Amino acid sequence: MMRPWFSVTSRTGPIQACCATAYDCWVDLERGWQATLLGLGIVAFEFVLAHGV
Amino acid sequence: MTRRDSPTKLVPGLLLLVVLGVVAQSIPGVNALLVAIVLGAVFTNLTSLPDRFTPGLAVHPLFLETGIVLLGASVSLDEMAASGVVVALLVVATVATGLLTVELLSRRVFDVGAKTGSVLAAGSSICGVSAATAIAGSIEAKSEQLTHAVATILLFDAVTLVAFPAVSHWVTLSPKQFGVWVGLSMFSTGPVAAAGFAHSSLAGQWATVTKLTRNSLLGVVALGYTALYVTDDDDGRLDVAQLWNRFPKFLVGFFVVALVSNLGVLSAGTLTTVAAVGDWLFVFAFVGLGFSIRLSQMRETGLKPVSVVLCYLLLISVLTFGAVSLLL
Repeated sequence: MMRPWFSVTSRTGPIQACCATAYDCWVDLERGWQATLLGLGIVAFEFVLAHGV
Repeated sequence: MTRRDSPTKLVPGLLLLVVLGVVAQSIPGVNALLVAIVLGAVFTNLTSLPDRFTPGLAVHPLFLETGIVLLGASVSLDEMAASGVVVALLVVATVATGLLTVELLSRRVFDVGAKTGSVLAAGSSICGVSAATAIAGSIEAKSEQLTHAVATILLFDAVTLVAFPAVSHWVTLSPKQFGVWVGLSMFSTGPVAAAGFAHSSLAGQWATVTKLTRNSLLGVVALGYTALYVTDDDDGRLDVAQLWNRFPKFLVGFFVVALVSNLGVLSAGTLTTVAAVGDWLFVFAFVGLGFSIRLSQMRETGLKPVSVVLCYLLLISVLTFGAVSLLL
């Protein structure tokens, strides 16, 4: 269910809709999985910064 | 992150964590993690924070778990494997000693009741509040029995969080020995990691790994307690799905990062940066841990459960200190 603050109405665009969906998926994850994704994301980001894509 | 908190509601609490974390990091000559805990504890006990800070402050366990995931980048699997058997044996011996000691103290010396004693035994021997909650569910303990046990464990989490790093200046243990000692003696995972990292990065790694090994025994102990208390009614059984539900999922990230790091994929510069990000996350998390230290709650804890756990803590600290000094 979309959060009220980010509800996809006619005045919101596709970017906001994507953000709303992504945030909903994130909030619905168990905290341990959030930490795993965040940690892996940080490592991947640092790897790309160091080596390029 | 708490469900149904919008990002904007998280901002005040997150800002407070970050500001106090930066203050803690900027004070020279003292350990930033200890300062972070003290700042959080002082803030929450001396001021009455408006409710708008609560959602953001509640994010701190995510920082702690993400910091542990990033810790995987600094872990040498070869070194872990070399000491793994000894540490694993120490963990099994410590948990067995802890369960027996707390059960005996609870039933024979302080008479706190069988189920309260069992919940205390699980909480202090394995992984703090989560183990206490899991065992209370397995043996169908009453809510007040769980409350007493949880309050006692939280009290000792707060005390040991300050005491072990303070003691580290007077004991002659290597970072690895100190980390394993902390991992064997203290109760909840967060404070164990905090105390270890307050000593050094290497001590923090060993404290975390040792503690996670201890946590892995939760399933076995829960099954044992379920069998012990089961009568005609076997509703308290733990199945594989329940065990998976209680498995700390951030360990998946920890092991993936450790594997990637040990395969040599990450350069030295990347490892350094990842470690630095992890350090900052720990500082923010420890500010949040400080906010969970409530003096008013400590005063409400009963004296008997506190006596049981104090006796156990003193005994196990001395025993494990001797063991790590001799074996590691």
